[in-house]
Amino acid sequence: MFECTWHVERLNLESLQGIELSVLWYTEGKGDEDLSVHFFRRLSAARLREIDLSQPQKFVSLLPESPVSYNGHLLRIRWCARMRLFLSGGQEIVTELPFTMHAAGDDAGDRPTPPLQPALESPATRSPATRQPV
Amino acid sequence: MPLLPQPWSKKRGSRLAARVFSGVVGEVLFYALLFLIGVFAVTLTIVGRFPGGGGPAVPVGLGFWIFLIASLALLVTGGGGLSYRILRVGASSERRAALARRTESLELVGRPARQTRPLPNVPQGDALGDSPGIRLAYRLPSSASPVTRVAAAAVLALLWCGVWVVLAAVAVSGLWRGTPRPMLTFLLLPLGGIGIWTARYFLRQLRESAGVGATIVEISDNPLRPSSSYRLFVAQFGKLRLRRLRVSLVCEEESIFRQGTDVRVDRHVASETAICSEKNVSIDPETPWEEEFELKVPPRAMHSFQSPHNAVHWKIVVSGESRPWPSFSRSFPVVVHPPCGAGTRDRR
Repeated sequence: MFECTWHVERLNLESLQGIELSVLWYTEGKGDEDLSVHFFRRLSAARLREIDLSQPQKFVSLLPESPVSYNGHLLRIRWCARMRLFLSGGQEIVTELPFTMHAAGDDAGDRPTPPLQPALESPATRSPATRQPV
Repeated sequence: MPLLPQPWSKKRGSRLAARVFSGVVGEVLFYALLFLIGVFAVTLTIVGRFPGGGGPAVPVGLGFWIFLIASLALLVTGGGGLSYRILRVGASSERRAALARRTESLELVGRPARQTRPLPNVPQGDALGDSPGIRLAYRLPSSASPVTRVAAAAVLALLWCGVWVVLAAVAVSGLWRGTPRPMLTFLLLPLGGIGIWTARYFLRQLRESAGVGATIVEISDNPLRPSSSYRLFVAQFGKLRLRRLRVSLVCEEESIFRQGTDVRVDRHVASETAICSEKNVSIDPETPWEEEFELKVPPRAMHSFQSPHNAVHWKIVVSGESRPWPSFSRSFPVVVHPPCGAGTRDRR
């Protein structure tokens, strides 16, 4: 079970047109990128007016058994929770929280892991339409 | 600082230096321009063919049809590209992927229900269990049939050599009539060299196919799981003397990528576990080489994975260094599933 908490701060909420929350995996490496979304929820502008975005919001998703995170030579499989904010004027802010998915009983303690990402907050300091490197 | 519109930009790693909106506007304008040029050209053609006021009509010839087809191509390309781009406005890559996933799940309606829930992006390996074995439960199919390779080499050699013979006949007939063709005669030399290479390649494939007999691989269970042990049976037929015969379990990464207009495939052996390595093996048709082994899948092995542009394959590889026959290597795909149950590890 994957549980994620998010909130928005330091952003003019009037300019928010929508928010997309997703849990997905994507590939990195030599091959073209593949991406598969496991969980997706879109919050419209009307819905955003009803909730207090400065307070922690939560979503829960039951993850599949595959694919597990993988760090190979030609191919890397990354899992992340991604939040995409749509602002007025066509601008977008994307932020990610990567995590490692492993098989049950797999002791991945010595497996190389990407650096820790900040929590899903404070997008105002980030340039629009960018994705953080994992 | 005010943002000025940029007609072009570039990617910096995974980050786009320009605003996405500018790119969308640029694409829409480009396709709209194509569409308008197409409409203009089609109108010109029709008006030229059916002029009002009794003017002379454009004659219907080859040029007329080429111009009309080119105009229609512009119109269709512009209209199609414009519609496609507009449909993608406001849809993030995650949203499109989620919609595609929902469509896939709708397509499953009406299919017979599976007894087990399929693992996403893991090959089920059902085809590997179609053929029962004699010693063990399943006989594994080979990834590439030697007959296909021999047939392809034969077609290549025959076509090339056939063309060379025709050109040679033209050159000889020219000499015979007293009108020699020096350029064609000169070109026959390099073309003949390539023909010899194709013929030698065909003979090499034929020798390998005829001299190295069939390879049979059987396994006790399918699919495989990490940390588990299985029985493996390998038999090599033919009449040959091998310097070394190896059987190994190989994990291979595969990536498909575009380089310019080409689509390329790159492969890398991520891990190789030797199961058997035997020197000076003699095989004749009466006594094929047969061995049964214990196959242990490594405990932290990555499961088989398949996505549109990337894959992780597992296979049993039987390879031999032989004389006088050429060395051979034959692959038998297997599927490795993840251990039952998976979870997440928090990075913090």
